[in-house]
Amino acid sequence: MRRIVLCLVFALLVFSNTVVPVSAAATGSVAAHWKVVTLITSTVTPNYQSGFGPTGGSGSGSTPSAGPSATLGGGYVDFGNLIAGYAYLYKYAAQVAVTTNDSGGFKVYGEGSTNFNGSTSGSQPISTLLFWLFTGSANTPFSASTPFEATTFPTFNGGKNINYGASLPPSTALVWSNATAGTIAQGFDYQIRVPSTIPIDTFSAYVVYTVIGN
Amino acid sequence: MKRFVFFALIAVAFVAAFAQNSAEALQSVKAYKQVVLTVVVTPSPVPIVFLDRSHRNRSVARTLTADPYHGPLQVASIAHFDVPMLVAQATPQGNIPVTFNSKPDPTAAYLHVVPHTSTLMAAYGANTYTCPFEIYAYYTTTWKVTDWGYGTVASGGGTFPIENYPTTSYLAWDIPSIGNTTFTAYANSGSPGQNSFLGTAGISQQNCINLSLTVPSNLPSGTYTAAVQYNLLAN
Repeated sequence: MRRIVLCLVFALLVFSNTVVPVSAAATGSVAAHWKVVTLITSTVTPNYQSGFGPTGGSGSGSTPSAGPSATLGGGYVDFGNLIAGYAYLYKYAAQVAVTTNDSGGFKVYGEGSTNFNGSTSGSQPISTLLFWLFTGSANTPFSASTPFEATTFPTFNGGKNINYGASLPPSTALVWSNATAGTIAQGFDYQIRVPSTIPIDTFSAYVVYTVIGN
Repeated sequence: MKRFVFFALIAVAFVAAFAQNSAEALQSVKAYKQVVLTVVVTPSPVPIVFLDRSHRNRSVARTLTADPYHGPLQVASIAHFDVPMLVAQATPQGNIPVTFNSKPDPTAAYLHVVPHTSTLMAAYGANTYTCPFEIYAYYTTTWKVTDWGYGTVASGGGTFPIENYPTTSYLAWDIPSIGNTTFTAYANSGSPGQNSFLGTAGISQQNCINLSLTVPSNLPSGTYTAAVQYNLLAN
């Protein structure tokens, strides 16, 4: 009995391997749908082009120059010594480069993580001090520009980041939008208007750029 | 005798006037400062649209009410309904550290600006702003403060709001603390500009500047900058 069963199984195996593929050739199609996951990466570069640094201060009796913390492609946007009561322009202050596969593009928001903090005095409102505009050869300390605001959201990483949670940054913080995919960069100049009432001190702040896909 | 007195008085008056003009002519600029204001023109509300009661429009309205889509039949299908897929990912962020050292202004004792508002929110039409900044001035001799739109010239062109001569500036000022309650358009032909206020030797003044801004209806909404140069002149 065992021999008969083994012989039948062997015969079945041989039949399945030799006969079925020849006789059952068939074609068909499958409709496949998929989603491409939206990916966005960005880099933010201070002093992104040679020639960066402050100009202006007309009438102050001194010519501004970038401070020691400013280096090409890095460091601080260091305005150096500024005379109270005068306006300045910092060329090539920051460049935001965004890479995305989202055909809807993206929006970039910029906010101060804090106001300007003095090293020995109190803070000064960033919204009356620091302004941004797109880089342009015709820019001056008096060109039209938009103030940065201090964020109302919590910060972390020593003020280098802002936690927006499930919210979007405020629409007033929008600095740039683009409606295509790819790798695109935008340069920004900064203006600073130093009030005559400011204490004599060193002031610092972080401007945080956040990229959101459309 | 009467004639002699009459001519003598005329001569004295002429000399006095000439002396005053000479004194003013001899005044030189001791300090100057620029006031920079950001002007944000906000869009108008959606204009009111009145219903067109014509027969044709009523017919269109009835059709759309009965069949708002009014197009070829479509069947809901998951294959064509493009639901965006949300994938958790970190929001890209980067930061720029900004720093500066503030240094004292060597001429602040003679002329400086006390800012109160650096951004003027403006609607279309007339806008007024109470004391967005003050001007402090002082000198040991008779002095005056003049102003003009920074960078303006008398050859036309220019930008909103101060423009260039012969266009009249849309930005105007008054100083109620010295009895000047009528708005005066900013001078926009560059130097020598116009008098803001005058001062006596050794006596300082700090005056609030009120502003009036008229936004023309054909101006696109957006952000603009007004820059005014104030100059202290004294003998």
